[in-house]
Amino acid sequence: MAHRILQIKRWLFTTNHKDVGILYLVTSLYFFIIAGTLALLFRIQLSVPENDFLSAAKFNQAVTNHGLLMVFWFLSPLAFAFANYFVPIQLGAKDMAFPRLNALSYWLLLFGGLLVLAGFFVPGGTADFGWTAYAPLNTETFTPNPGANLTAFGLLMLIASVTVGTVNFLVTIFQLRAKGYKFLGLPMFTWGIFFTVLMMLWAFPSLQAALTLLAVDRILGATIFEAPKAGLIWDHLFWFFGHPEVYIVLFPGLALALDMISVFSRRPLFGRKVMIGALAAAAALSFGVYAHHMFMTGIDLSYLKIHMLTTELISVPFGIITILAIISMLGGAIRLTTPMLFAIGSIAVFIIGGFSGVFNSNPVLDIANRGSYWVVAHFHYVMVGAALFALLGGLYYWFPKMTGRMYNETLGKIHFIISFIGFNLLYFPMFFLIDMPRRIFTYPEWTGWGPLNFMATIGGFIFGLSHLIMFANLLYSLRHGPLADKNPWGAWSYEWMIDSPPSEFNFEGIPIVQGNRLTIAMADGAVTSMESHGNHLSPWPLLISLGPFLFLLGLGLWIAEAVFSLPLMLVGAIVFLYAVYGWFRDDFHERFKFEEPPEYKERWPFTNIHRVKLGMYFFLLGDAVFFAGLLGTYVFMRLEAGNTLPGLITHNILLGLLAVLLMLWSSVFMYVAARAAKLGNKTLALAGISLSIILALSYLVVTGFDWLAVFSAGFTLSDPAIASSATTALSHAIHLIAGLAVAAYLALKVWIRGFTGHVPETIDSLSLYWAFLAVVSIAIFTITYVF
Amino acid sequence: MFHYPFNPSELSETAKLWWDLFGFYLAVALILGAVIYASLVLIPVLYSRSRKSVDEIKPGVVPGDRGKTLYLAMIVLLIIAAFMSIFVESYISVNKLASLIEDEYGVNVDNLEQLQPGEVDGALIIEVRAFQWGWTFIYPNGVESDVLYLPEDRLVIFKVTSDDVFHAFAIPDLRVKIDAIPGQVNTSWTIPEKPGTYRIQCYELCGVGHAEMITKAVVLPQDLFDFWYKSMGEELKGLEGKG
Amino acid sequence: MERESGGRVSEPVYRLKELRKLAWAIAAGFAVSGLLILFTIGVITGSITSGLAIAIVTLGLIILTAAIFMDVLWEGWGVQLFSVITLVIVMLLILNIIFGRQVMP
Repeated sequence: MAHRILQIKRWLFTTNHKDVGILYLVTSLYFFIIAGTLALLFRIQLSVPENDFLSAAKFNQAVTNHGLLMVFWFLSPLAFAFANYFVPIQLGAKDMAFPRLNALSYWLLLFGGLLVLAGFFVPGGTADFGWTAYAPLNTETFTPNPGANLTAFGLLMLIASVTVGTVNFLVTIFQLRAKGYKFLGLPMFTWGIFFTVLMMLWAFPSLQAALTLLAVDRILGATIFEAPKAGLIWDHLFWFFGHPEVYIVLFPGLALALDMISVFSRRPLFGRKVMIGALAAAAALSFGVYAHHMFMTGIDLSYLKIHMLTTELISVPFGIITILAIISMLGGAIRLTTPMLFAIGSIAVFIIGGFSGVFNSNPVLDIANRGSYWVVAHFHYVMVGAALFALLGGLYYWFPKMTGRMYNETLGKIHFIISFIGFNLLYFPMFFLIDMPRRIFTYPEWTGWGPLNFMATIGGFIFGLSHLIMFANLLYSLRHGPLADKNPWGAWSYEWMIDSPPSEFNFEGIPIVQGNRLTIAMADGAVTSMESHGNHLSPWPLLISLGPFLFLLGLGLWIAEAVFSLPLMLVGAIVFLYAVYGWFRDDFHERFKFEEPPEYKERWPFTNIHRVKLGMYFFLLGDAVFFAGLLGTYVFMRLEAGNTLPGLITHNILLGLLAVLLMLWSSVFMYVAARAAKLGNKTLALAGISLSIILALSYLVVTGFDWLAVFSAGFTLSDPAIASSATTALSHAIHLIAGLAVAAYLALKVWIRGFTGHVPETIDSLSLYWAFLAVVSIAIFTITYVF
Repeated sequence: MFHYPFNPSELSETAKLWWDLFGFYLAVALILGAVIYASLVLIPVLYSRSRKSVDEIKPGVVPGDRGKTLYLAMIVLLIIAAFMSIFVESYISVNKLASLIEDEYGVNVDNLEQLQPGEVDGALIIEVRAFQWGWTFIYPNGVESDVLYLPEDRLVIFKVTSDDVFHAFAIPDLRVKIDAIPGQVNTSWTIPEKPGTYRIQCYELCGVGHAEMITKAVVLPQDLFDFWYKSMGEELKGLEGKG
Repeated sequence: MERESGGRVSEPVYRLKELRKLAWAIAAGFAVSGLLILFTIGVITGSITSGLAIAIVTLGLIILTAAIFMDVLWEGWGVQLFSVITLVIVMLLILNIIFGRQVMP
């Protein structure tokens, strides 16, 4: 019994990257089953014309949540399950750069998903506006469903999870490679994850901005997305995120397929560097192509032509990758194992998905494609076909490593064949349904769409049920499969040089790369002492995510006027505050340490920068896009939303100037404190932090006063320009308040304990954060107070 | 109920343009796709496990970079050439869509949304209002209808807007589609070429009634259309006179 | 006082570097304050009216402040590269919003 409790505690409090990876894996498969069931439900509804299996409302909810759950809670988390488990090992590291943050990003993801699911159980129904949630259908006026608020909250928690995870992966990949491990030598999978997290870093904040504005609309009663033409700004913010998101889903799988192709044809990839370059080019281009989702919105033709060019250009890197992947197999000794079949299958469907994508790059062809089943077929070929097949292949590929046991090869091959046939039967007919609109819950018989839809439904069931073979195979093999070798596939990267399953710290020594040889230097005294860093368990990541979950659940229920909502919010707030306090307390006593000495690590190109500061840099670089989205919305509203007034009239510019100067000098003093901390001058550091806190508080007071004046002058949130600039100011203030809590804590710690551990680096990072907030306040001042 | 075409590209000028372009894309895709698919299927079959001699993957050794620069450059250039051909074709097609009416009717496509009825000779300008869940078509003479009547062989310009949420106005067979956005007037045009009845449907999820936001476009021969247009207009005037 | 982010430099060089950063920051604090005040005067007197002028001032002030207070000037090329990429992406988003409308400005 005690053992079992220990087991439960281990899984709840773990911060080990492999445990977190397993948690990601199980969670993603759980959401896969839910989202897949939703898909089968609406495929039944669509199988014959004029069916009444699901009502329109239920159908729309099923479609919406199918999309959201599959993209955000299945495909990406499945890729990140593997990334969590294998990227640190492939780099030659013992864990991620920030293990507790890693656990935090898992729990935020899980609770975000549970919030979305909770939406189903709220009376009045959940979100039913499609996963793209076009404005103004997503506002309270047109979708009063209280569950939709929970969906928005769940997505915000997901974005928090993604932000934390992104920073963690970037610092890990940049600073925790084995000594001598050059970037170019990394396995393709790690490369794929690297580009994926880079895209996540800059894409997700745009969605965050859109959802923040939507939350202000839905909760504070603003009407940003009901303003004239506001449908366009939602499109911009959503697709600026949405198009990179497609590659965020695709890249890990595609890169993994390349690794598997190389291993199972016993040949190095043909033009490996060119492929890496192609991935980089596609990642960079992905931010400049998104207007092809908006070809029919009536926006300027010359602008559309630019996006037509870039969209067609982005087919070049993917074409290069596909062709080089096929040429890589030439002259090899190909073993058609289950993972290899899935890898080839992934490339096979990716070709169809890619070609059909080129059709969508043309505004003229888009006259038929937009909003039709052609598009549905296209993106399922890319996201389900290319990404999912490769990731399922990865599940088979790494199963012996993760469990130490082999799966049944015959059943694996049967799974591939059936799912491949089912997949094509499901999605290929949709290319012929180019006239049929997406997301209609039924269609009249005279349209002639019946037979093709029936075929797709049959294919859907074959595809969906084929995965039961996989679940049965893997679950049985988990206990009863034959024991697996260290390296059953004869692969080359680090994960195949250690035990299956790996020990807690992966390596029984120090991984070092000499030239092109991966080695694990034998353990000596210095290394063993490094491993005795005590407790690996922390309850705070779980609790710090549980708090917001309960709070937001309560808030959603409160809006829905359900019982128990206020106590739920209260409990959530208490749990959150207690967890934050606990995290600070652990930090104060420096209970939880995980730091590898830098001389064992390759840190190029960030050789001389502390990991906390580097993490802060990445976080802020992403956050910049968030504020850009908010300020961009303000500019859009001023340009398009009819009779809005310039900030110069609504605000008092002198108060604005005073506020921005206060914020600027608050940042200067925090900078002084950071320098003092670096030089070991305790008095100056404390004085700097205190002055900075005082100035920041005065900034909040002045800004608050200014906004009070604006509202008392009769302006309300129903003015979209006022509402979007208020959202910007509010987001800035929330950032600042969170920073103030950390600053106060750090001042206390320095006062009592002096400069222990990496406190100077933390203060230095905090001064970066403060400087960023100063930069944002300057932008807020020059744009929303003047323009 | 609905007329279905033998040759879909004959239904309207825009449909003709669309199908020509689609054919070009399809031809490129099929030719390239056939080559790629053939190699994707043939290579694993030809090089399967019988040839055991090759084994260039060694545990713990980073695989080297393979591939002669010349071959790599050729592949990259080939793909860029394919891209260029598609880009040039699509650039031409986009301009063709505009020049279709610019040359023949002298309409400036840049500010179509400000176009007033009667400004262009021979063109029919119809206001389309989308709402949850249906359509209203407003003709220059004030006639409002929930079924769209169109004349054959005449330029029709749609000025599309929405009363509530984001919709997308489409006559798929005639290859007309444009988003209906509240607060914004978007334009689209076509020249119907064959009398018949066609489906009009909304192509952007707009709420629970989305699937039923469906009506018909009836393309009439010119004289028949004129008769309908006139008699409806007179009826409207009569009603107003009474009122 | 060997700190990790100070790298493997000797103590006096390290001190000097920190002190130089400090001097620059205080100077920049005054410079940016002055520019903000000038800008405000320009707006109040009506000499800065166009959106383009506001955009240029905003961009200039942001880059100046970030370069000095966010240590972008003093860190290695890695940080500088990522900062520039971020600036490009931010500009991309804003320009898309401004130009991706029915009528371009």
